[in-house]
Amino acid sequence: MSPRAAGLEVRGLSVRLGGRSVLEDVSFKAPAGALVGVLGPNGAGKTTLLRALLGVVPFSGEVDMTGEIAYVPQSGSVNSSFPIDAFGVVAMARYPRRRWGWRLTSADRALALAMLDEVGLAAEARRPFDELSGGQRQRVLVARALAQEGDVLLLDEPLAGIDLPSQETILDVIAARCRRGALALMTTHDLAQAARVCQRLVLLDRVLIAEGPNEEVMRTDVLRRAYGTSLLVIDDGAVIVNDGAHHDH
Amino acid sequence: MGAALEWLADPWTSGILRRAFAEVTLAGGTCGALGCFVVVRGLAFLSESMAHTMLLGVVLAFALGAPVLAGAGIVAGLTVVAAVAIGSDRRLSFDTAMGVLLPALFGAAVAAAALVEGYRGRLADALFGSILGVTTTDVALAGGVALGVGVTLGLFGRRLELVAFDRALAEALGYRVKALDLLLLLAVTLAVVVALRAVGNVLVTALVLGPALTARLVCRRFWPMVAVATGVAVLCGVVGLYTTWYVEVGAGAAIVLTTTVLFMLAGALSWLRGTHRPLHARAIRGSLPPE
Repeated sequence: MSPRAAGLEVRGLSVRLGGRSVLEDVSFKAPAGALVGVLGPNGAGKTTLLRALLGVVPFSGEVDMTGEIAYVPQSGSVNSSFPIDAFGVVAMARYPRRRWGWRLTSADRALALAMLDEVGLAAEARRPFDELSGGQRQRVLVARALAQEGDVLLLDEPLAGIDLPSQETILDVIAARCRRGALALMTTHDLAQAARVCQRLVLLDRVLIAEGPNEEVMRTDVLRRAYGTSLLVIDDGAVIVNDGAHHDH
Repeated sequence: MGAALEWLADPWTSGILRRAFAEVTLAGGTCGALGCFVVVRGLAFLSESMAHTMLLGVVLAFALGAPVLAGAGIVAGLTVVAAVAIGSDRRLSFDTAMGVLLPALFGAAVAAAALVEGYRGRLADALFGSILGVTTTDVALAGGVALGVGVTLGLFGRRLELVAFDRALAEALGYRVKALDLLLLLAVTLAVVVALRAVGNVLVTALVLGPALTARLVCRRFWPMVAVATGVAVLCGVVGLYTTWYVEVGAGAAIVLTTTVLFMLAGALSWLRGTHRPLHARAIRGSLPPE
């Protein structure tokens, strides 16, 4: 982790895929040290926003970013029948730093093992990835992102469908990185959890609905603009979102 | 002892068999290594289809007096391009595309074989291979492809591995994943084309998939799997040739049946040992930093 502070400012970001507008005119700021939650219903463009920031999909608009990116794809996107162990997955983060990827240094291996240890899986280093539980797999993927040593962490649904202890572990390691000046952007379907763990929120529904500190976004009228009728407001003020499956393509 | 050595050495006295050994080692090893990518990428049907549609190229090349393997390679390449094009239509899948192309091109090949003057008698060679008929040129070609595939894996192996495991991360790291896909398909095409000579059109898929599946059963990591699959493929080729030398069966069939027997043995072995015990648990070099 480099000592300089990470930062992100997005201005007027638009993405068109296959002639269809997926994101339009999205602008927000994310300061160093913050965990930013990216919210929105299915198909709101959350994954696309991350992919645009990664430079994988073409976009118009401006992105000012300080720091290197580390990325945790949706866990469903990895080939879970691939023969590899937990350590091997984390070590992949170091391939781009070594010419042609062969011959990782002993520092690479020590780093990979330390990151596995940080997510509580050092003892499982040689366990095949396909024998790990969903929560353990997700922790391995987070450890791999940590081993990329980026200052800007982009996490796509890192907490979806995994056990609570794994969620806590992942949130802890993200918070530790943020305290050291990193910036984390996390997509999620879980409004209550986002309100609890994030410092800022970005609410999308193809366009930017709202962004800012939690209290500015977590308002019934604002949320209703994104979620429409799938938002249920109970008269004492509680809000329930029925948001279906955890998939966003 | 002397008798056993003589038994082992006997086939090597024949020039035909020496060329055949070289051919199965080079072509088989290449198929074994690339088969691992085919298996983990879920491309089994693609390699199967490609092997069959190649027959059209073989027959047409014969009719035109062109090199047979060039014809096979061109038709295999066109098959892949057509399948990708058809499969990119949202309503159709890649597998559906192959399901259409495979019988169409294979049927065309069988029809063409009947029409092309003087070809009918050679159809069996194309279908089942003619390892005992390989020429020095065939062996050199297999060697060239083996070398090319080896160099490709040396240079791009890590990237191909990463694309196979996690395409999204590979893209995020800036790897050109579509180019890497094409590179892999090209390598598989060439491997199948040269292996046609050894085991023929119908059986080549077994040489691509069999050793890789066997290796998958006994390996927990990818590159050891590639090494084991390469070794198993070579072993199958050699055992198959001995079988042909001492028992009157076709070499292609003997090689392919050996891959099946080894796969079943590996399956039984992994079942007996249970799936929970690591076969290759190995300590990680390096250690945790002090707390």
